Amino acid sequence: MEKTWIANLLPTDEYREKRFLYFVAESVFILGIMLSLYLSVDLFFVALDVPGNLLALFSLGFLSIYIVLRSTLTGIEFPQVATSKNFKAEKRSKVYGALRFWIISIIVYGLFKGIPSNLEEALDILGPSTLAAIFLFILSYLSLRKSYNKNKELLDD
Amino acid sequence: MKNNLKIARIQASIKQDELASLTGVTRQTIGLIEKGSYNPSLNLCIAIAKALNKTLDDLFWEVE
Repeated sequence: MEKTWIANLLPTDEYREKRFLYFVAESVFILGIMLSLYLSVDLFFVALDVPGNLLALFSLGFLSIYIVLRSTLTGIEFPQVATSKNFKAEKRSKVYGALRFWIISIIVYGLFKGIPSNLEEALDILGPSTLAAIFLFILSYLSLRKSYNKNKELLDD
Repeated sequence: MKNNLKIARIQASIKQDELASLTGVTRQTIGLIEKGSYNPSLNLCIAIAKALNKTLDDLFWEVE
């Protein structure tokens, strides 16, 4: 790898590193086009007046979501999962991981909002935590499934 | 890019994951190179050739 500080943040495997750099480049390119369009419309047609913090939040959100989704759908996150046994073991660990996340998020959320005194307050804590845990599991499972399907074809004969 | 990597690896009685750990990449990367779906860097080509005790020509030169 060339001398750049970003090299320390990249995967060590060269295939994964290359793919990751492609995803970053794609997301920056698309974001650049979207921001150019926004600027053109704002300057020459209609004053959109989107607050700066909202624009920054959208940009950061787009960059991270795009890279995560591309990595997930390309099947590069679990390069070691190639057999049914590996897949089942990894799936089990993802289930436990999602459960751990769910419990921790309920505790943290509960600390911030206080102990719920009625059902509505309890649901206010349980709802977002449960949705986040389900979303996390679905994303992990999708990535695992994609990686497994990709790696199955590459197995030793 | 087509190559002779899989044949050379089998001849050397080395498994994909063994070659992967010898060359510092994942098994997925080795599998993709064998399939012709990924073109490795020159550094990785050399590392693979050394691990299999072959030359670059043996592994990567114009496969029919």
